[in-house]
Amino acid sequence: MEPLEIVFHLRRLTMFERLTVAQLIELAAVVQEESYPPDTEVVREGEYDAGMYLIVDGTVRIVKGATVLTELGPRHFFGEMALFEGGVRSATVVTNGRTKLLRLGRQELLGLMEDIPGIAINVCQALSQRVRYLSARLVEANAAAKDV
Amino acid sequence: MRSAVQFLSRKLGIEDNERELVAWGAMALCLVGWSDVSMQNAAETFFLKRVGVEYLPLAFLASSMLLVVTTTCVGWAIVHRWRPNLLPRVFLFLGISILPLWLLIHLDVPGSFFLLILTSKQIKAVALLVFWVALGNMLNARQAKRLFAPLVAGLTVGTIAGSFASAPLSRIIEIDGLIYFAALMLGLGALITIRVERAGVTRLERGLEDFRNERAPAPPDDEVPGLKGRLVLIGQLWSRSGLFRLLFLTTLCSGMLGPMLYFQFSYVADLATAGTGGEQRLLSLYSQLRGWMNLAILVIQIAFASRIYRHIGVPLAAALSPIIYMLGFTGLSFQLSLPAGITAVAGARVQDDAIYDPGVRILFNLFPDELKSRATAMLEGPVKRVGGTLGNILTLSALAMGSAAWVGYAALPIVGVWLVVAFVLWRLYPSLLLRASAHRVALSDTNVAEELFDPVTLRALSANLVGGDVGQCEAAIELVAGAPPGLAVEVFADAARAAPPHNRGLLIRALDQLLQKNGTDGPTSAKAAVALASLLNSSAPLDDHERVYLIQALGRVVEGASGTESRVAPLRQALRDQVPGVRVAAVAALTRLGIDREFLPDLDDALTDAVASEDALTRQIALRELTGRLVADLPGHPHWQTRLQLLARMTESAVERPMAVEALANVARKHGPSVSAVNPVVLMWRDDSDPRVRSAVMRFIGYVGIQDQVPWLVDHIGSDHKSEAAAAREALLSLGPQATNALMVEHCFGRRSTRNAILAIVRELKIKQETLKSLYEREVESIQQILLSLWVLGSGRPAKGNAHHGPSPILLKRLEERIDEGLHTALLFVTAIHDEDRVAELDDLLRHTRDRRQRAILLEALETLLSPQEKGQLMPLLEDRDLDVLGRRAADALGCPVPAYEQVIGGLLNDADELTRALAVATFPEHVGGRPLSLSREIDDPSRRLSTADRALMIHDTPIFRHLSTRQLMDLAKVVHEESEPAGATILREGDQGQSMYVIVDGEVEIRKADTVLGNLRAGDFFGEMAIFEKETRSATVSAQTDVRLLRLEGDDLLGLIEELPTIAVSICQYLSHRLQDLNSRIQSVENRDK
Repeated sequence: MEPLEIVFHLRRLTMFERLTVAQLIELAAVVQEESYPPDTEVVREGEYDAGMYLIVDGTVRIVKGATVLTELGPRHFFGEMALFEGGVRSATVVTNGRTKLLRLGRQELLGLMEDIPGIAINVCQALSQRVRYLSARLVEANAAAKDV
Repeated sequence: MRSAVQFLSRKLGIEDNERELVAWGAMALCLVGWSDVSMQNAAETFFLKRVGVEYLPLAFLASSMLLVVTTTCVGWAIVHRWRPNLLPRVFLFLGISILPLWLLIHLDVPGSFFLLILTSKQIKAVALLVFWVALGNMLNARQAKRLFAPLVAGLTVGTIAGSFASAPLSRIIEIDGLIYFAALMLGLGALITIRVERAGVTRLERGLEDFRNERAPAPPDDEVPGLKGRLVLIGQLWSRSGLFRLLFLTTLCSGMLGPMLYFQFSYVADLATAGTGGEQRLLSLYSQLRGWMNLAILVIQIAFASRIYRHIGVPLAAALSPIIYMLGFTGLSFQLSLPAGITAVAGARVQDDAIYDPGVRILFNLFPDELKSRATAMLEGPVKRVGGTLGNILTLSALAMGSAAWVGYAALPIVGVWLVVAFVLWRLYPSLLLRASAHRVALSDTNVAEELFDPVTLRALSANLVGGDVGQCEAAIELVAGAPPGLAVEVFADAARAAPPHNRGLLIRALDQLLQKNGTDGPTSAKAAVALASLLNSSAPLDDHERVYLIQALGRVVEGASGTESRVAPLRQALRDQVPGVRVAAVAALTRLGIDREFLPDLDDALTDAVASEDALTRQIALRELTGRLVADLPGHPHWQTRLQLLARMTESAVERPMAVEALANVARKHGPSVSAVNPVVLMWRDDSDPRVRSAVMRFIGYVGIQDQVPWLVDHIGSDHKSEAAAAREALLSLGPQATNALMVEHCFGRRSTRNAILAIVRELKIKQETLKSLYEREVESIQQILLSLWVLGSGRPAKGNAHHGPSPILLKRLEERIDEGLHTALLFVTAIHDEDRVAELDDLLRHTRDRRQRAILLEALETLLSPQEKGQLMPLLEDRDLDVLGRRAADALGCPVPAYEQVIGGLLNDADELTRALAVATFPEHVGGRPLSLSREIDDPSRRLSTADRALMIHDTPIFRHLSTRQLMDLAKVVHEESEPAGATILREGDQGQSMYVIVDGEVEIRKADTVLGNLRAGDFFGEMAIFEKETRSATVSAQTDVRLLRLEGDDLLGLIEELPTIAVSICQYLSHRLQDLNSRIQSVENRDK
């Protein structure tokens, strides 16, 4: 992808919506572009690898054991938990179709959070949205279990 | 004399300790240049006259091949066998090795002329190679880059002087005499290089450089690849980068054409100097030609090159080369004469060396970082050399097939290819630039950036302004707005006319902002005016705002009254516009231009009406026009004071206040105390809730010079609002030394951010050296006082039976912080005293470095910058943190006995620093008649109100706020609320509104969503943060399991705290992802159980 294209992509992500163009350009310089064929593991549960992925194109499913936790599409991201948990993956991520991702390393993200508080706040926001979603799912799952 | 040397070295960027090195080095290079050009002139004269011009390409070919071998061998040898004094020895050896050659020539031995050509090329190459390697061992990369230009200037001067001198000299000592003269020069050079080696290096620069390299590791240099490796590399670069493909072709073409043109010149030069005395005449020709050519190159490089780049752009300047070659070869094929030859070769060489080569080097900046070094090395090295070899081979084959004229015919198609490539490069340049700017490659270096933007390119960028989507248009606007205003205005105006509606609005706003920024003396441009007029005349749908902005912009860029009928017509039309704002703008523009004075309504009436208008747009226009007139006219103008009052009246509306006060500040900047009539009105808004208003008031105070407001300004200098802090700074600077006293008071006890900001201002205010020195002494003394207190508190025990607890950790932390702050301040004073920015830079690095080895390097570097006295005072504090040693030393330095524990406490309770005092009172309340406070967790009586310091102690114990400084803790303590809940109480309910976060001080809570318990939290944990980030309702219910004590923090305070200290957000993220992991595994286990 052209650097300018990456900037335009990053700009569309809610996580980076508060950034100025200059900051986005800074960010674009540290992300790496990666492409995966269908049904390929991007990260595997239990593996050590600290990096966060932004989905540009295609969809992925997040799997823990046999359970599909969720599916994510363009403009979503995953792998952010490993950034704060010492780098061990808590779930496996598998591509559905051909998928294009941008990878952001642990040091880069932490550095950006220190430099640009707006990013730090956005990461907090994104994480708490996911906590909210998963708590709701846990409640549903519990209710379903009771019904059975 | 001394000051002249200092001035010159400062201009050239040479530091004191480098001056000797540069002087001797430049002199050595001067001699190398002199000797080289003498050799060359003699060698070519002899060769042409005694061997024959048709063998010249062969000689050049052989010599360039030999050159590769020599440089490789010598390069290997000096890297592996380097020892001191190698440089003078090599110079001496080169000088002596010429002498036998002179003997051979003198005896007219056949073959010696061929040898002479070969040697003359090798000697310069070897001498320079050894010289640069030697210098590389003495300097670091940054120094070398800085000193390269002055050193090379020596070489150029030597070449020019040597060239002019060689003709007269040869008349005295014969042409072959030039050869031993060259040897003599090198011998002299050997003597001088001894001095070069002696002029040493500074350890400091090395230390800093190593450190920088470690922090930002540079990509390792690629190994020198073999032939196959090089081909593969070229293939890779070729397929990856369009820029590389283009530069590869131009480099190859220019490499090939150089020797071909030179051959044709040599041929005509030989012909023209046939007959008796030919050798002497040919030598004079060479001597004159080389001398003038090098002089021209020097002059153009210094005076014109960057101007040429800025005017016609780098690619177009580089494209001149093929055109000049084309003219040269064409001219020579019509008439193979000496004048044509001289013109062609001089024109081509001057263009190549002065404009083309540096221009191409600027273009290298457009390569993405990861390709840059490899692509540059490839193009400058192998590709260029291959071009030269091909050129010589082509010359030989053309000669074999026909006559000298054939060389020109062979060259023409190559010139054609080069022209095409240059044209393509020129067309592609804007998009290359856009791509590079997105990569932030070229723009990081401002000097380069300036040369990268030329009018042609900017206009080409406007394609993105017009055609791109909104995002591209915004990106291009940012690029263009950085260009010189006159140009940017034209580009924006032109683009606005052509753009589709969704981009037009953006462009009109960009144009408006640009013109606003440049005020009334902004650029005028007929071209922009035509574009704007035609946009206004067209049927394009424009909303009111856009039309007003356009009328105003047009009024500003129209360059005068006469001959601008068509451009002024839209302004006249606007007088009858139905939107009042448009009418006001038109009246103002026409009045300023002095057109239709007799028909125009009175400007002041129109403005008065507009100010009173209901319509916001009209009022805004009135405000702008008023400001414009007030700034442009002198206070003596008949309507000036009325207009000023009118503008002041506009501050009454909250909507326009920020702009109105800002406008008044701008008027004050231009006219100073003349605006004091409105002082009371402006000062009324001093404590306005809008930071923009407050900032503008500050600037107003500064420019008018209202002395009694200085303390208020100083208060805001470390403000969290960047704009406010900047405004206070600007105001204080414009107040000048009058503000110093207030600054000093705040400096001793203020916030760290304030203290830093003050230091910067103090430096700019040019305070006297003695004052600075006494301030430094005072700072050091106070550091030692605090150190002593800290030592006594830390090691001493309270006298028996007096108090039952030691000092709280937070008080000790405060004292440590003050030592740190004091050290930092002292170093900043040192920075100011020595006018040495590197001290501040090192101080900054030291504060951010934990690694011991890196600290050691930094400290070593710092040591070299301090005076012995400062070294003795500061280094122990920075180096070793053993409190016992430091405390004893502080007592020695202060010359007082070690105070008793009680004495220290007494001192702290009366400390000048408010924060220390507050913490001391909280820690030792019994000394001020209060009740003793047991520490943090054991707060026994929940009913008692806690002081700020007590709350700070509590916050200090929670993990997420562990990194806060005592001042931040105290600030936070002021905004947190204490709450207690009995066991069983519900603290938050799912679905409720709420924007606060809770930190648990004591007790336990349960988090529950519907029937599911999500978790239990204990002291030190926190909850409620999710709603703050998401601005949503509570996601779960939290209830107290035991009696709990909580600290409540409002959402905005938390966000503000994160802005100041983003590490807090990292802690919160850690906590959230922990929760996520927990949720993930629980969902999985529940669903597995289902199955």
